[in-house]
Amino acid sequence: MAGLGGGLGSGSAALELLTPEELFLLSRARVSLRRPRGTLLGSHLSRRTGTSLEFADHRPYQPGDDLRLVDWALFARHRRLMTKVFSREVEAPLYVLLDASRSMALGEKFRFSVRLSAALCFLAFRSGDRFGVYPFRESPGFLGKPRRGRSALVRAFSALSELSPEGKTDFSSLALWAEKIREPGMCLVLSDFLAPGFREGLRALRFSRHAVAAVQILGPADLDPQIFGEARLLDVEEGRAKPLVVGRAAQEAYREALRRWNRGLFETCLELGVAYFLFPSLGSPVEAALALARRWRP
Amino acid sequence: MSFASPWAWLWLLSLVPVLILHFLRRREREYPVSALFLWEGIRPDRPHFLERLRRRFDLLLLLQVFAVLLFSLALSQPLLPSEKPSGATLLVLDGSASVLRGGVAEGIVSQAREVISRSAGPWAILLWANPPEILCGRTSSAAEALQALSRFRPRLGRRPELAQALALFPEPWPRIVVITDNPAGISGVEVVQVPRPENLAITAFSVRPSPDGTRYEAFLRILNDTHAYKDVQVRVRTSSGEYWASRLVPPQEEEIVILPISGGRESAFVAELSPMDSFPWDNVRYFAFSGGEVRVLWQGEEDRYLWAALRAAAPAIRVPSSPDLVVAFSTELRENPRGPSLLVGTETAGFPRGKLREAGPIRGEAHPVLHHLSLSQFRVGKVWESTFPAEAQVVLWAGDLPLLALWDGPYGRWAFFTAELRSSNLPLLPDFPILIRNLLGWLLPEEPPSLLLVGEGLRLPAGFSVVVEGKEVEGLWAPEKPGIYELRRPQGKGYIAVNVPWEASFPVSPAAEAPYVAALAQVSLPLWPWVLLALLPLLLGEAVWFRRQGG
Repeated sequence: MAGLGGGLGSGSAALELLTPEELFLLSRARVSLRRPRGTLLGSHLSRRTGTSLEFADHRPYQPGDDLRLVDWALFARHRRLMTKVFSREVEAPLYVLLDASRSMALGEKFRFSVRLSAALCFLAFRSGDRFGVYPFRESPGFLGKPRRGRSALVRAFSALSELSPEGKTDFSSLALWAEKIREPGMCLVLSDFLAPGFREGLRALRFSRHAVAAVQILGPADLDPQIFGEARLLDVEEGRAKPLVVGRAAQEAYREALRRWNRGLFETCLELGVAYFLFPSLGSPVEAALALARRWRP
Repeated sequence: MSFASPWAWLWLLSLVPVLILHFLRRREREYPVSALFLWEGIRPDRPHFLERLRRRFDLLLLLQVFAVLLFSLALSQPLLPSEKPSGATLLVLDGSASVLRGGVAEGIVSQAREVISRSAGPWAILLWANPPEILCGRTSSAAEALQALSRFRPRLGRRPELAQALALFPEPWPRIVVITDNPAGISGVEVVQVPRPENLAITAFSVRPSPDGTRYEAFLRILNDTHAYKDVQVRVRTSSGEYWASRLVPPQEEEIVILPISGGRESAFVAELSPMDSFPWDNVRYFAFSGGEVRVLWQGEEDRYLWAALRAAAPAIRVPSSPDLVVAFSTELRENPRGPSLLVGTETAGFPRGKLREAGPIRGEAHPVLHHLSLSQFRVGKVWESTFPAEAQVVLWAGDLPLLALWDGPYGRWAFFTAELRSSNLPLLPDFPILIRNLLGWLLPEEPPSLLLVGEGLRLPAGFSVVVEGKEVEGLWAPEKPGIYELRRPQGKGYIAVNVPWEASFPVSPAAEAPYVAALAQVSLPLWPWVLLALLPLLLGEAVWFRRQGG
């Protein structure tokens, strides 16, 4: 296990985000995709034919075919020339779009998101895929291309360690990002989705032929706020305040409003063909990453 | 519980502004939220008045109310009724010689301070010594009583009877506390016993001449009142030399030492025990023979038993004439003897002797001559029928026959002893020399005793004086220190040995089994200091809680 962390070069950044035990758990996971969307050669079997060792089908021989691909055993049996066709192995680029607005700072949400991003990058690293972390606020923060390999992982971990939540959430910046990064891949949007405009952002990603998953992360203060009595509610992003006497009825009304909001998010995801996941920020980000690898099959 | 200043409860009115300020204070707390728009449409809660009141009653208000209550309570000066040992307390401090052992006097003073501090007063302090002394009269000031304890000075003498000391305070005291190191013989009062330190002591010292008159024998009893074996050395000093003996004395045991002393005639002896300890006064003891020699004119038959008893009772020597005492034994005197005479089975002129008759049971009259005698052990076979003067007093009877008669006649003091000694067991009894000593005490002129205790008063006869620190003291004399004192008298020089009381060296007797129950008195304890003390952590907790709430 020590080798996992040590193999990352600048191990301190990695170890701040993920412990050796968590890296060991992640190293045993395997990501399998139904339709990998990468174009470069990789480790995921695609539905397209190619030159991998995985046999896919026979097709009638056509002049020009490589005679080494002719199935001579079949010819001996049926007196027909048939050429063997193999699957193609492609890569699946991973784009982690991380909400780095100020609202994520409440209730350990940002910390959870950062660690989940690190875990996902490590999964992609182990699969030999390219990956990139793109924090977004009012505008996309980083527009570089995804990279592969250990040095890319170290850079991603360092960037995640230095990241801090600030600014406002603006899902329209996802559309800007989609215009810049045109290579289709797996897009994971990590956010609390407690801001309007997520529909446009997710739609822009889908229109760019990405496989998209909306990962909603909510803290205990979002799910069950412990506010009682005469309160002054302060929006951490907009700075607006609202005085309110909070009792049981007000708390129940808030929970109902949150349920309605999340239902709208879920229906939007369903409509756009976007996978939807909800994780509480007090849980384990590694468990969340493993659940994503297991349940999300784009 | 009562209150010295009940009007201070009006301070409870300050609760009103405290409550008003508490309820008027704005209590809106700020909560950061991720999405304020989710709260936009929510109507504020309007809970029931009692519910709002309940919410407003937080821990801080409770602490404030409690602090005001405690403050008012402290100002009202609450008094808690309590029972203390009875107020009027007479402290009797043992000031006898044994208290001079190391640490005992300090222990007595310490216990006295504790009794004073735990009782309500008034107090009086009495020094139980010889003579008793009032250290502090009745006073209600504890400081004065404590100051009087500095005048506590134990003395080397014996303590008198407790009732004699208490007679200095004729008024009744509800509580009498005796603080002593030796509770023996004390009853009916509260006793506080102070432990004694370990001690090595000479608990008995006596010297007797040998029957042949050539030497002396010193008898000593050594007490090892410690918890370890002690290797002790005993030294007896006379004017002519020193005599040594060593003994290994087991713990808590006594050892008897008999030391032969040779040489000429001696009158004063000093016994010393080493090693010394914290009570050196009983490591040195003194002994002196009373008076000088008794010159005896012996008439009649010889009897070595009677002579040995005489020698044991006094330093007797025989003389042919001018005697101090005439002893006639079983003879017929033609002339009546002049001066003190002991007539044993003897007939004199005018007082004929009859026949020998069987003796009856022995019975005695109340007379000093019979002191310290066990008459039940006396066995007399035959008694001479004798004729006595009419004024003679018979003090001992053998059935209906006189056995011992005393007569103070014109010839001097006579003692008639009618027993036929050879038919009796008297010469074999230890009481016989005592009887002879008692008879000599009655027959011979009065002599001051040769053994005294410190503080024991002595009236010196006319012509007698004692040399004390180079000065002659006549009349009444009470020695203040142990030692050998020179006695000057008409017939020559003598000595008086003065010792500290013997009981000062004895082990402590156990205290009385039934503990004394002291009378209790009702007192009021002020509680306000404790209330203020409780207020401090309360205010501290209030401040901490206030800061924790973000105030």
